[in-house]
Amino acid sequence: MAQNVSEEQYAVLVEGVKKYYYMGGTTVKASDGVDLSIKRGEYVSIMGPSGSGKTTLFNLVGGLDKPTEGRIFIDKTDISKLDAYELAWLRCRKIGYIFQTFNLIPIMTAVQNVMLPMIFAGVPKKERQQRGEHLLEMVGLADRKDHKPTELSGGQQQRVAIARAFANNPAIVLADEPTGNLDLKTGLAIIELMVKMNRENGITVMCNTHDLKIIDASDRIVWMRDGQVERVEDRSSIKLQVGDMEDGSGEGE
Amino acid sequence: MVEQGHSSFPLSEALAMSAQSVRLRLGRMLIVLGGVALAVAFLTSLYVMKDVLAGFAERMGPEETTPVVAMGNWWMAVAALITITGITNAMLMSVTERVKEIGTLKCLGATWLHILQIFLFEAAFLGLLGGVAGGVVGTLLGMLSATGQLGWEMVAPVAKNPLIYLAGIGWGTLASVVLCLMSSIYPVYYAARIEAAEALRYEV
Ligand SMILES: Nc1ncnc2c1ncn2[C@@H]1O[C@H](COP(=O)(O)OP(=O)(O)OP(=O)(O)O)[C@@H](O)[C@H]1O
Ligand SMILES: [Mg+2]
Repeated sequence: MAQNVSEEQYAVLVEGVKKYYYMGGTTVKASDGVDLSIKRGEYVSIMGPSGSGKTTLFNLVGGLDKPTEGRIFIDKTDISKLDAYELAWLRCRKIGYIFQTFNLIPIMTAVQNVMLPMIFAGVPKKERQQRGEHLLEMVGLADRKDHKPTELSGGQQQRVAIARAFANNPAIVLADEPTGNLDLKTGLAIIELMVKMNRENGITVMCNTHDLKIIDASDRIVWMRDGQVERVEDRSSIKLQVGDMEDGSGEGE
Repeated sequence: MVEQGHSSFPLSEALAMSAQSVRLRLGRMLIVLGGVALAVAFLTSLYVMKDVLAGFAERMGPEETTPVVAMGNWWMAVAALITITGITNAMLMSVTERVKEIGTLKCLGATWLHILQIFLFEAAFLGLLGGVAGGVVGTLLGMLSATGQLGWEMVAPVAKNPLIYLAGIGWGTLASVVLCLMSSIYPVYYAARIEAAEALRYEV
């Protein structure tokens, strides 16, 4: 089952991960040997052209897909060794997900959506309510707690989704193009909020994005290409490389 | 060693969620609900007629009632089958509409059992609502058509006994819930098996 890794300080370890799709004779290498380690508390942005394997990595690290090869550790647990029930628990307690399309449960109010992961985690009702309201306060939506998703703007829905992702104090929050469906200004506010949640709660974030504005806020940027990590940049070296940013556009977007 | 437990979703929470879902989606479920109610009304009316007829079996002789009862049974079986097909179809549509929601729930910690719970409760609620409505209508229809066939004088003593109404409505509701649950076996199985990554890729 769970296996210990000497490096205590890592929230996520990705070791030689490959994800191949076999489609009628051809092999699509969505992930083609990815190695990546993310330290606790880090804010890592994953960038790269369309089809470079960002969503694939999101699914693999999030325990939603199984790699063809390689291992992934979340908080020292080798997730390939988990059965379906243990995976559900890992997703619930150790991982927070933020999607491009928000994915709030449409019949539930904002605060109910935020409380949902806490139900699965077995948090008592009163505590759930308190924490749910507190989280909505943190994302600036205290006055919207009883609104349904359809009564909220896209940016507000994403704020609720962020509150939900942080609800169980996960080891890592994964985001797949959280600003993809938002206009520039709203998207920027969302990124700022994610960075704020990362800094204030000390919760690790891995965020797939096309948004170059995130560069200043990230501790590291991982550039992907053709299912591989092309290069990794530290915050200190980022500003020197502004010229390279232009290759963030991709084939067939 | 890392702590490891199981995610939980108490029955009470699943019930509350299903109830909320049915309540808020009632508008869109109205057609399905109407269909269930109609089918149950038909079934119940046949059942009540049989009930009434059974009371006269001795006076009229089995030669007269037996064919009618057999015919009623045959109609009920056909109606039940049609109902099951209809509800199965409606439930499958509801599930495909909510694939993304199911994927999200699985990300938040839901196991296939939790998804099963939620959808089964929804089916049961649907059956309950459609069953009560259909049971009431069906019982009245059954009495009416029994009166049409036998005349009021004969039916009156039975019609004045409230038990027959209770039996009709109760039977209709039970039949409805059972039919809805049977209809939801395949759709719910399908919903529970949806893989999270697959579901998230899914565009409605
Ligand atoms: N379920 C699948 N079946 C087959 N091929 C897939 C599947 N999922 C992804 N791929 C392929 O894997 C490659 C990587 O896809 P992925 O979705 O990870 O890219 P991405 O970096 O997220 O792109 P984008 O920025 O457009 O979202 C693509 O070539 C894609 O076609
Ligand atoms: Mg993607």
